[in-house]
Amino acid sequence: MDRNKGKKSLPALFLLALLFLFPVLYMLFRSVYTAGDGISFLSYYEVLLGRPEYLVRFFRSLGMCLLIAAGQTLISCLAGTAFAKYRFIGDRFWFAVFVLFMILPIQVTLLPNYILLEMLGFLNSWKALIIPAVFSPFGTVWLTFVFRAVPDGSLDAARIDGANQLQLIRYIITPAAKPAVVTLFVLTFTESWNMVEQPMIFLEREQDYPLSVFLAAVSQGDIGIQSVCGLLCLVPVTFFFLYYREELTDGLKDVLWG
Amino acid sequence: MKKRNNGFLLASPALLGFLVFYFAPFLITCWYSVSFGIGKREFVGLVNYQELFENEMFLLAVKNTCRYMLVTVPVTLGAAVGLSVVLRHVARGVTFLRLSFLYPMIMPIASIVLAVQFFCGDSGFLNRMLTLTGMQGTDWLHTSAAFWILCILYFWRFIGYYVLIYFAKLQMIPGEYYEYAALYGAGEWQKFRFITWPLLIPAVLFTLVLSVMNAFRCYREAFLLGGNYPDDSIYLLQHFMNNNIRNLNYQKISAAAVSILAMLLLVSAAGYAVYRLVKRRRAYG
Amino acid sequence: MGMIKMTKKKIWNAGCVVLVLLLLCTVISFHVERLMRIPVEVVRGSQSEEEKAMRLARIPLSCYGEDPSTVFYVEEQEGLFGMELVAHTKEVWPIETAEDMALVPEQLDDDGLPLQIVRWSVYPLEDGDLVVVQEDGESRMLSGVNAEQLQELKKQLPGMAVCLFVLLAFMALGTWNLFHLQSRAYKRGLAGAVIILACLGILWAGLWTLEIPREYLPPEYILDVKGYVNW
Repeated sequence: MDRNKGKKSLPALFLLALLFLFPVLYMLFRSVYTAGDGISFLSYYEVLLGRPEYLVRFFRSLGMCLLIAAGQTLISCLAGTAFAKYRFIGDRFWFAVFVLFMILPIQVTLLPNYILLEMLGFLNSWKALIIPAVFSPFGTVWLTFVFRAVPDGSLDAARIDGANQLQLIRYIITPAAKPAVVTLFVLTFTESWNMVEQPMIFLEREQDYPLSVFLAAVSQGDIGIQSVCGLLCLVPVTFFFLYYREELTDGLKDVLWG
Repeated sequence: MKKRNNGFLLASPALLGFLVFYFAPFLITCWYSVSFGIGKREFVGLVNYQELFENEMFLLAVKNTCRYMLVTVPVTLGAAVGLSVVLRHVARGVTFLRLSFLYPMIMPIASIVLAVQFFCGDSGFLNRMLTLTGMQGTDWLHTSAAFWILCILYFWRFIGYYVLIYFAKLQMIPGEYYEYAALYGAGEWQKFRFITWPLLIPAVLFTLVLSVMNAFRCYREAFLLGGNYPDDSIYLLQHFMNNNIRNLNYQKISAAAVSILAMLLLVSAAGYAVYRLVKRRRAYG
Repeated sequence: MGMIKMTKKKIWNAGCVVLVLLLLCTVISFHVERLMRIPVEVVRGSQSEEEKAMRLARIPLSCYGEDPSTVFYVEEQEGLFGMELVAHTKEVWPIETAEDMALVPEQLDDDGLPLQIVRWSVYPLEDGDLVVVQEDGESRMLSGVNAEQLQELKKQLPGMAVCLFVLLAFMALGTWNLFHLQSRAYKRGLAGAVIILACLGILWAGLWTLEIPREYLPPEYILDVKGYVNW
């Protein structure tokens, strides 16, 4: 009885899925078709071979986002273990503060951040984008919830064998929660890949803008080039999405209250 | 076994970074919100807050943001629950479906903006269809229809995320529960109400928090589609803050920031209290 | 479990191939942009004393193309790799014309220096084109210096083709090694990465020696087959 029900709604669901994928299909379409010239691959040439600036921006953004994702994951692993498995002064208070700040929109701290970054001399370089993002509270909160579920028994056993803290994290906790850690990496990468407000405010020169802002800000101009750039933008995220398919579906469900 | 103070070293990078880049700036904001002056700042008490709450634009922004959340969150969560229940019955292709629903969340904003402009822009698809049938089309993004466009955008973007979470939780429910229920003559709706729904409640509460977070994030789409001064219906809190940053109106922004935090604090405190209540009732009931 | 691993491997391999191709495109596009820069000859308006007082200048008539009211001027702009020269259009109405010069209002840039106006270009310019300034561009083209250069290049063609082929083979090898990174064969993967980076470096450096005179490339873009056929 269940299967029959499934079969009936299957076509409808697939149609729905296609609707969800609509922007991708649309971009594919616009990258080769223009109202005036019909089908032509000129846009692909211009973006990939004509000028290096699109690809250079692409690789710069890629490097930056990988750094952010790696940094955030690393720091969150450390802090997540601390909050989940250790007690220290004010740990409950700080955790609550982390959660609160996690929900806040970034505009709230954007202006003071600007002043602070100016004082530190980070403005107009990508340090201003990378460093605050690495310390975002989101990863810590996420991993704390996940690490809490790691059984203490294995930790104690390892401690008896003489493992120090870092070894504990590397060999016991992280493998146990691998889906969640990987999910954090991918989510952070995606967030930073889409970062728009911070670059516009913290960076002055248009040359430094990462690909996300570049695409969003250059709304006039050749729509073929825009579509190809958009498709280019999709590549890294799609890669992580497909490669870590299993981890993503497992990792997102691990964090459940109650 | 938890060791005292040993965790501090571990947490210190995160704590330090957080303090420097998130907490300290916020404290500066608090100071700015109760002071005034260019150059030398003087304490002025709650004057800024008073001005803020009399400011039309701020009130509009608050109203719009609340309205947006009240519309998107229940609809999206409800639809996600429904969709995940339906997905449970699907035998093949579940992975493809789940992944394609999830995809909008990770799609770069620029491509989404492109597609929306194609659809709803001046010379967009929708307008062309309308002119074919003889009706007038307008620049939808700059009318009050923009609100509904943004709602649809939220729905489309985040439903896959919630479906994923619910679906995972649903899969943990043993099939025997439903079979027993069927033996006793329970219909689909009853199965849902007495088996599925109670077990989903923790997940729903969690996604409630997430959905509020994500609703804030939709500012980006509103900004990219409507610009700095969009139509009244989608003028959100962040628009207010952004515009005042350009005017270097520090007082207003700081007061607004603190107010937003306070409101959020209130709401989450209330939510947490409800959560504890529900938990206690379930423990005793 | 086996099936999942296999798909993962395929995705990793595809990702590696895409990455290496994109890197290759980046290197090539750098040089394509360099080769497609249109050589121009520029001139600053000349002024006699009285013309200076009246804020007028003289420019050659050849500065005007089909449109008798606009000229192109060259400006330095900040590009991704430093300053680059870009051609822009400007409306400059000639006040009077004599023989081969035109009297025009003084054209100054932001710093008060006379604008560099394009006198001659290999191909018709469009607003925003990248250019490179050559003192003797036209004469090189007419006197056959460029033609000789092309002949030299043609002689080197087989050698270059062989080099290219070898490089690409090495890159394929490097990519294949990179595939193994997925199964945690770190040394092999690292070796692959090193090979690829080395090949790209050699390619990038090697392409600098490639100097194709611009007039032998199609006007629009380098892959325009029709342009080659016409020529």
